[in-house]
Amino acid sequence: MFRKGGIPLLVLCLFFVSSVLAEFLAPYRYDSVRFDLSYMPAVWPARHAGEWAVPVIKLKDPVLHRFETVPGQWVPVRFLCRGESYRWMGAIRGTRHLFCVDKPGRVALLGLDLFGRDLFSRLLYGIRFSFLLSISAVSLSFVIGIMAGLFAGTTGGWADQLIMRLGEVFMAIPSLYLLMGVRAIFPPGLSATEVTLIMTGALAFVGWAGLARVVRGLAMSLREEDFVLAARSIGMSPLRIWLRHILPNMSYYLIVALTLSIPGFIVGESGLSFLGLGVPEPHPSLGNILAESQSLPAMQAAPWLLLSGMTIVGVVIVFNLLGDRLRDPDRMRRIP
Amino acid sequence: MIRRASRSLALVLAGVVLFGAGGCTGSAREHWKVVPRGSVSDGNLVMDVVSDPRTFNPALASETTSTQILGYLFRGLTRISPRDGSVKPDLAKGWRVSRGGRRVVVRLLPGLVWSDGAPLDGRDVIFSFEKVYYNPSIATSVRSELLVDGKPVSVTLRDPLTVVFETKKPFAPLLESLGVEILPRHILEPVVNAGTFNQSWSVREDPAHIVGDGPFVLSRYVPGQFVILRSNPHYRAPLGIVPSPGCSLPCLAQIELRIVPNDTSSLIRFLTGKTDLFGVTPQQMAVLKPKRKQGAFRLMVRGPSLSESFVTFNENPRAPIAPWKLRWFRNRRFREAVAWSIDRTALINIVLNGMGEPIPGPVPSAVRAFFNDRLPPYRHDPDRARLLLKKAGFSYRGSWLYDGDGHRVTIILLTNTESPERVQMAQILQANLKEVGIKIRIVPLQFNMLATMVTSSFRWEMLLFGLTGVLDPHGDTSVWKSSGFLHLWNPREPHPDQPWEAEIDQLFDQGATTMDPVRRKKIYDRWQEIAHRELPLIDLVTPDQITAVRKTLGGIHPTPLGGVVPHISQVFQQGVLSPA
Repeated sequence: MFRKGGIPLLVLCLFFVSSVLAEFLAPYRYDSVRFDLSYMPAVWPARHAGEWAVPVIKLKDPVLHRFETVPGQWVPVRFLCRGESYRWMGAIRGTRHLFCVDKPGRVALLGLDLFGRDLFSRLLYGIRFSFLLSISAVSLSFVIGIMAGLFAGTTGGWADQLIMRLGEVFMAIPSLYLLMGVRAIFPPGLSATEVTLIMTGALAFVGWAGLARVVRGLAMSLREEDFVLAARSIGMSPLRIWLRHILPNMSYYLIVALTLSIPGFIVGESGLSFLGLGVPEPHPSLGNILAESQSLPAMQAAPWLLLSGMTIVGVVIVFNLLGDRLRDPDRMRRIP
Repeated sequence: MIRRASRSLALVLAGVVLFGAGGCTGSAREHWKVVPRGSVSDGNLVMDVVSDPRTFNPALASETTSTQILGYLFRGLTRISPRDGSVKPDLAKGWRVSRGGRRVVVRLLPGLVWSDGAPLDGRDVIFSFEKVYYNPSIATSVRSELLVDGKPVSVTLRDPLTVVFETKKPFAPLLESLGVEILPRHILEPVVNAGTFNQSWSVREDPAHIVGDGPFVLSRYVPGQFVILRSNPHYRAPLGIVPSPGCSLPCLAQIELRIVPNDTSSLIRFLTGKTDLFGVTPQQMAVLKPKRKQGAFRLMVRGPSLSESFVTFNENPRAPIAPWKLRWFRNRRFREAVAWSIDRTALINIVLNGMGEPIPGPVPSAVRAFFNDRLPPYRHDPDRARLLLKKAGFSYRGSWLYDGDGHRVTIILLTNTESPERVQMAQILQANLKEVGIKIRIVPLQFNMLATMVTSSFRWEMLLFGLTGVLDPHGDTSVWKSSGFLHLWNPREPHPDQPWEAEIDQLFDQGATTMDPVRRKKIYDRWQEIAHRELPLIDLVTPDQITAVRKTLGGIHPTPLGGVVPHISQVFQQGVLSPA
């Protein structure tokens, strides 16, 4: 599988590792503000007096967002340094960063947002949030989808009818509206954790039906296979048949479906956050970073905020390429 | 191979769509020059409004599009000078105040005519007050402004051109209140008698039936598209308004109000030369300022606006919130600490794009007649805030603040989602208050939901909100008197809850009945001092008022209180735009 994944898988691994290590790789916390540097464009480290350093920038004109460098003032970039404190994955305390710059300097690889928060750092956190959320939502929806599909496909009868018609009801409603509807059941003003759980649940709730339908189809055809009949005739229990014969024969389809549905969930999450129904500020997600660049003045003052949109597009394309590569007809063989 | 090629084609297409979209706004023409059009009369003024009017009935209108349009169609006896806020005659020729302010005798201009040619006289005034504004079966929001001590003003006709207003007590803002629109008796009296006034002059009414006395008459309204007003041939200008050279009043032949979905489309329409006037928000300055020359427009900055934003805490003992939180909020030192921890420079630079001013007290500095300039504004001083909090019995554990009973100080801050600026302000407050150890959770809510929570269920802790300022402090009565329904921190108190609230109640009663301007100023100065000390509302910032004006327009003068148009009838088009 890894050889087949190729470059897309490599890129995804990079995304994944960097998002897992967000606290360490990001020079600043996601909520570290600099109100005096609103919408500052990117400032990269450069060689100054024999070491890597960034110039000190100050606001010149708040109306047009013009900045100027303070002549002769440079702040050195330190590597593997102690900087802003964080809790890694919300648990382990730490202060180490890959690189940091002391005040009044500010390194900004991709520029700053309205509140002077570092876009590079926020994107790393945002990618992690979107990734983890969509992966957990996909897992949840797969569990529901596979169970429902298998149950419907192997038992048949009225249970099959009930589950499939229910699934069709879900599929008939456009998913974004359904997501908004599910989200609207819960009151506004919940904490970030609560919102995350609700969004995971909502995405899974909306996404299971399509999968259940395909799984049911596959299960129905596999049910008639000779090796399943043989297993049944020697008295194997239904659960064992599912685990031993039916699921393994679907695994390739499931892996492909998994990679192809993650981007859908990322877009769903971003859509909700973009509409302000997602994780609350200052917590970043790809969607709510993009929402910041909605207005014409913001787009003119800080076009770099659109990078979060590009990241969404990029991640979705990479996932689709990966799914494409994994979908290989000669691997879809029967495992007796 | 083909699949790979098609895939790269898809990528290229995606790129074109993504990056090409940026070029779209550039394709519409944005370079203009002004060519004189020879005549100044018969011009056409085009503006955008962001919502449809709800009614064409001046007594029922309350939202801004309706009131803006009706302001061109109707007039009152008096008007407010946009330059200094003083009261000037409109339909009136003059007035005499006697009996210590309890009687006002108003003389009307002779020969006034409605837009359908019928004469306008004192009987219309009597009709408007007695049959409409004081009629309890008519749902008008104006009535409360016309009540003195809860009682109507007595209005009598002495002769067709003289109307006498009498009150039991002197009422200082009476002349200002006489600015309410006078309605045509000959059209509306049958409607009132039939009991259908609340449905009359709706937006479905035939424009020809809407008879006014303003410089313009309604010509056409197409929902969702435009409202067109034509000049009123029977218009008679108020005293003191002189025609611009070369035309009679009103100078414009037509005003065209285009209904657009939002502010951004309005901005784009102004940039592409489709409109003549545009109210600029501070954020839009960065877009407009570099394009002044090529767009042939001027940006007029008229100083701080009347609107103010503030934070307030729930001090209502009846509120269903944790008792210890109520104790924090009712503690004056706690509120003062919050006032000192807010970085107003950041609020201005970030939310108002550098175009605004901090406000020290409840009267905006634009209202020079009542502004108390001795109040020092609260600066950003977290150390002082921490000291105050410690004095108030709070203590720090690590960087977080705890009260005397060991409760960590966390507060839910409500604001309304309709205004992105307010949500941004809330985020800055969140960061500011984190510095002094107070944890804020922001909950943006829809306005209606917010209003219910604040004014009727009282289930809220901290609120970031704004109010439009008023020219006369008496207009703030509903906010500041303890019985007021907008007395946000403790609405509709049966009796004043705290001694300083009782004093403010008294000051407002005195202010309303004192006619001497110097004594009134002293009374309201004292109120501002109390408000500044007790901080029931912690005032934040006010944006600058900015208007973008196309250079083709004449009769434009920036005024601190009334926009860039001192009087709409004097505006004229002296040129046309032509591509540069």
